[in-house]
Amino acid sequence: MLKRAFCILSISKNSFAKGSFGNDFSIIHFKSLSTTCRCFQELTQSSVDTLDIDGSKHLPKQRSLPIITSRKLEYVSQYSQPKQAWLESLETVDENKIGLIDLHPDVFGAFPRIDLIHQNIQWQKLYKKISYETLETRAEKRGGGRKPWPQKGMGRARHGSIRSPLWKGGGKAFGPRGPQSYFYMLSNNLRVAGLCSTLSIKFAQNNLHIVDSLEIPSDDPEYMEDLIDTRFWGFSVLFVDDTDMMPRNISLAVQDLPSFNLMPTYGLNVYSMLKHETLVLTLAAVEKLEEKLLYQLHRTERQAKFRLYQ
Amino acid sequence: MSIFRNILTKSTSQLKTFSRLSTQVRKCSNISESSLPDKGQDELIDFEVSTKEMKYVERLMPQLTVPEVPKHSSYPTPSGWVPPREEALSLPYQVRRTKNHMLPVYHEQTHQNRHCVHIRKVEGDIWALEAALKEHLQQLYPEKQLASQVHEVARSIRIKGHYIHDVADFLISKGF
Repeated sequence: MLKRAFCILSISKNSFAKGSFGNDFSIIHFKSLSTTCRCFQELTQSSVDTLDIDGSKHLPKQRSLPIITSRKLEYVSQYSQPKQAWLESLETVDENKIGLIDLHPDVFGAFPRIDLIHQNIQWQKLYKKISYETLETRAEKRGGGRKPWPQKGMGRARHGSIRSPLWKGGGKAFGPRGPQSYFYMLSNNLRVAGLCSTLSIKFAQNNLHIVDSLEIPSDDPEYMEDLIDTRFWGFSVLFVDDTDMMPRNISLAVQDLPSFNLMPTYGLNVYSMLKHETLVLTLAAVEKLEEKLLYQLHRTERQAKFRLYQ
Repeated sequence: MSIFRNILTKSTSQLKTFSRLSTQVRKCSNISESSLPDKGQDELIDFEVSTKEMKYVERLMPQLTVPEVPKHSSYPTPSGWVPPREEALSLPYQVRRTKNHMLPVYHEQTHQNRHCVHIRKVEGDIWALEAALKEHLQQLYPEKQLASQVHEVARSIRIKGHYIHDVADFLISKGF
């Protein structure tokens, strides 16, 4: 009974087992080169972090809370207002709101296009797929060169070879032929719309949290588990920062927890965002994502006909 | 050399720097040394640094993003473009402009004689916009039967018929 229960548990969490997660990965580096703290310093005039000579940061001091700041948003249409989100912190296990920031409505408040999200997920699944199925044709099958019996006079059906598709052990007429790739590229606009829709859905369903940085006080995995349980951040969490050199503590805390993953902004994709229940973005990641997605939404199409996948 | 003379005759408030310019006499087979002008070894040539001409370079470089429309003295512009107006915000539906600041209204044609109007980027109450459009077009063409399709997920409306100019005029009149 216990064994079966354990098996069921392992199946339900199988998709998060190490090594079988597809796009997601957890990179461990021991030096933080995140630009998040710098972004936050530019944003607020409160007490700043101090940087030691050897590169390690002091934990930020207590600020006067909450700080309400307005970020500079570009390309804001007259028809939509900026969305607002809490700026949180991972310094304590309990919820720690340190400010309120504006989010661009075209990126975080876009209409949720579930059809485009489906197209994105299909694309992400299929473009890497190579099917290695092969079946031999009647020409490739061993034997079958001789006519088995004369055309007439036997009282049997007429046949030319024992390896024709009609025969048992014969070749396959129109079967799968060798390595076949299912590669195709979704157009730029569809991929951008998929990302904006997914981010908007995450925000609308309260599954998006913005933190100042991914610095945590200890590298104990229990700290992460307690934090996520206390804040009800869901079974699985995806942490996204602008850099791929993640802080030491969070890298060590998260490396053996398969449902919590670290990711740089260039790895963000629709499949991963839907796979994880909660999405945690740092402020630097928000800035970078907005900059990139808004550029794609407002770019000129001069060179479109010369580009391969547009 | 005339470029240097032009810069020198401009206002002297420009930054002026002097530099030593060592003249290098190139040995050409068809030019004799005696025909070249006399230049001392360390002749100083003064020049001015000016960045005012950069705008002529920048306007030729390709732009990565579509810029905002410059302010005109009167609308419609000579090409017929009209900006969106603030009064459109009070309506229950909105039709947002494309990134090139145009109306998202397109004419679709299939089978030589099947014409449709496709209105994209509709926000708010899409059914209210469809009803308003059909009412407006029915007034213009009372004997015609109007068929329309509302795509709620894609936020678009299709109307069967060659009414693209009427639809565009209607949306402009509403202030979109």
